[in-house]
Amino acid sequence: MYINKLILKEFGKFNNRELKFKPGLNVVYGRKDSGKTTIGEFVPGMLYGIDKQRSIGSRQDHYQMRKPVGGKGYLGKMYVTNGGKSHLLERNFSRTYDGAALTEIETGKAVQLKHNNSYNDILFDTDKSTYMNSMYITDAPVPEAELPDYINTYTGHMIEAQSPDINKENAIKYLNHERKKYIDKKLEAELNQVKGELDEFPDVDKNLEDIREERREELDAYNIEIARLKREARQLLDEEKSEIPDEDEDRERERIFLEVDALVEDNEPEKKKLSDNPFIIMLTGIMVVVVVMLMTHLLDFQKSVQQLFAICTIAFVAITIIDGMYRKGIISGDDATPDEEEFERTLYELGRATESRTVRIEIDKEFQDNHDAKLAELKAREEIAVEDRDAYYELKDRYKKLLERFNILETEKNAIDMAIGKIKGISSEISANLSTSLIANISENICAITEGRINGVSLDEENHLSVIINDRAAALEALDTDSLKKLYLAVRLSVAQLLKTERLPLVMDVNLKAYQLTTLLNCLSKIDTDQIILLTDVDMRKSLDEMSINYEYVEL
Amino acid sequence: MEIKLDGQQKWRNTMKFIHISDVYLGASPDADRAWGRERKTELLDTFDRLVDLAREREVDLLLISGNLYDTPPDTAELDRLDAKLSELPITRTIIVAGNHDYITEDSAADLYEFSSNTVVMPGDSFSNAYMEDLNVCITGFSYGKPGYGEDMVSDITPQMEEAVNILLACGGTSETMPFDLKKIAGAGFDYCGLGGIRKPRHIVKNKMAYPGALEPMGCMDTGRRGFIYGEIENGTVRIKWEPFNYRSYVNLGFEVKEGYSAEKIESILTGQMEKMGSQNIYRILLSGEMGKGVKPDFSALKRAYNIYEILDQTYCGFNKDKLYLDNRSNLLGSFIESFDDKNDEISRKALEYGISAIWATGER
Repeated sequence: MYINKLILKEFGKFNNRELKFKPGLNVVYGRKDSGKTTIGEFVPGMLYGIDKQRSIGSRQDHYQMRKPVGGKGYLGKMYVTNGGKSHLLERNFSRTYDGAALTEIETGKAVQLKHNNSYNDILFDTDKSTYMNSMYITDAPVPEAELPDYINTYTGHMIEAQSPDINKENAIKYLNHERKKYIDKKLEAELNQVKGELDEFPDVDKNLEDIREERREELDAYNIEIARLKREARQLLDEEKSEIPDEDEDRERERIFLEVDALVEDNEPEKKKLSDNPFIIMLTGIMVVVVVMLMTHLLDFQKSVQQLFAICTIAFVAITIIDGMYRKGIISGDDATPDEEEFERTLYELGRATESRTVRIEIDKEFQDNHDAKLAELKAREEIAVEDRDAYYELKDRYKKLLERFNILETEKNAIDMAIGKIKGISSEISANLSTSLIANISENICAITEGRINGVSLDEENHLSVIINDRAAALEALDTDSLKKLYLAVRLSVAQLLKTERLPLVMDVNLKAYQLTTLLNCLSKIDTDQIILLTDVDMRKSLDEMSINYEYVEL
Repeated sequence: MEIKLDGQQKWRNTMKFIHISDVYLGASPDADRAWGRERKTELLDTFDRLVDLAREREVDLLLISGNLYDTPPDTAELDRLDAKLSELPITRTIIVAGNHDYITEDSAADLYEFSSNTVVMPGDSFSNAYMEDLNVCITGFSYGKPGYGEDMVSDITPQMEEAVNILLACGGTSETMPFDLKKIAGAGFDYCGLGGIRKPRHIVKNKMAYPGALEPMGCMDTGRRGFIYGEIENGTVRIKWEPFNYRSYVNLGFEVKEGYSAEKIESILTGQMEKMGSQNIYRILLSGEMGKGVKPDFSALKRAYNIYEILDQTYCGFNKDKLYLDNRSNLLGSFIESFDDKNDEISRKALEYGISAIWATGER
């Protein structure tokens, strides 16, 4: 893919600025502060967008830096040719209206993007991180004094994470630090203590059930014995038709007695009462009337009063007699057979009547004492077992709550451990794939750039880079600034050679004064791509012409 | 050398003292900050307040164990000191010089004669000051140069039997003067008043302590600063440290939560600084997750409060899909990809933790 034209609608200091490029080498020449770096940043900005906040790898707030000076928009366009087809890329960088659009030039049709505001997987597959580290080459963004550290860090991170912007070691430190937040030794100690206490308990439920079973068995055995004694007592009653004789005093002291019911049959016929005879009743009533009338006569009441007494007395006696006869069933017309309920009540009352007839059964005192003692012991044991059970479940409840808290912490710790494990695993894979080839590439490039002054580089176990000069390893700190800059360029070119998978435009924004142009171009030629955009404040037209190299020249 | 002070009172069983060090009069902490000028004046004001307190409490001794001044004082500074100390009617002031205000021969401090009841121990030697009425003997060492690098104090022993013996010495670091604190503590002094360290430290209970500076001197001096108030009753010393500084440096940590707007962040910080004291100097440490597009403007806060710096350690609310799209070939992308088919709780959390860690520690 190569860029045909850049249109910086409103971007940084530029307003509607067009720059035309061709496949192959493009040299953008401009003096200091002419906007070369802005042009350089515009290319990846158009391809991938600009982060609205500083994300990984954003050493500066590019969004703010390239915000148009005085302009309201924040726009750009780019024409590219990819696989023989031309496309127009349009992008609005502003925070509020950010968006990307793609149009196929030949058809004029908008191309549907696969990802929001991204040309990935439509125009190219290379992700932003890879592009920025392989095809966008700049000088090291640190002061010269920090170059050895920066180169070491860059290379180390690249080998461990395939990105100079990811600090694997610090990420793991961060996670370990986070993990410490979830270590609660006090909780763990408490949990272990409660667990230990719980383990010391027997099976409290079984223990209690065993005691209760034992009590049931004891009661059953007791009841069986009592039932046996009852049977024997009943048999005795049946045989003798009489009550068991009372025992003498001495025997009473040694024995206790239980009252048990005994069924005694009572067949004696009931005697007929005098009051049941209706004639007697009526005679009695007449006599009462006669007595009352005699009394009123003897007391010499007025005749009318005597008559009133006679009437009232007759009425009263008559009502009483009728009611009485009715109650006795003498004058009732109903069937005399009792209903079922009445029958049952009668049976019950008959049963109650027989209960009063009791017998005494002898029970061995030792047997009773043993039974009582056994029950008391079982009751005491049951009480203890119930207390144990309650204490156990209370402790178990506490353990459950502690365990819940502990498990929450464990989940976090396990998640962190998983994250650490994955980061380490992925990093090891990346290192295994990258380190050898990257070091070989850097060695080759630094040897070429320094024209053999530095023979190569080596890497120690801690991913620290050393340079080899005259077959001797030397720390980067021993190098002069010029050599360090060359080493950094060698590292960047090596990364580009290694990571590049597509022929995307390569942007190079470095201070070219430090390098031999021929050597640099030789190194760049090893990066297989369709287009190189070289941003420089060195007018290199003459040199390029002398080398008979085709190039497109753009002056800012 | 032995110095005798005329007794102004009869011998007493009880006496009170105030012990300070590292006042750094004349220093300009945070000179490059908006509050820099006030801070220089504050050091003088705080010392004056302390002298006023000594007068109110009617202490018998004001002990200064080094670095009363930030640099060796000139006569004008000593005049001011003498005038202020003259306001103490019954208090005797004993000063030893430290590595900052060391006394060289013929320097202003060496030649100055105090009209107040003040003794400055001569430079580069041990001296004793015995106060008969209090029955207190103070042994002290004043610096004669900025540092000794060797222990000059640990071998010194109490100089007066039957008296209360107090040692005043400045040091404790390898550059100035290393101390064998154990040896000093065992030397037999009733109280060892040390100086030269800005953070208060009570080393041996009621026996050996650094009061620390009176005012914090920089953003690393967090926490309160103050003096030691002591009482000696029948030879038994009891001391307690009391905070006295006018303002403190405070590290104000603030965890930004997802969903906090810029206004909310600013408002919470304002409320917190008001609550903790607007005179304090704050280092604000922002952590947590800053929402997408949230960009607090701290300029108004910086104008209204003393903010030393704002360390923004937040990470932006990440869009996992966007992160993956931008990083799919590197460690971050591979990490996200490794959770593609995982949806259990631990995996979800592990993904969040991993992204946060890589994000938070990434090179920016």
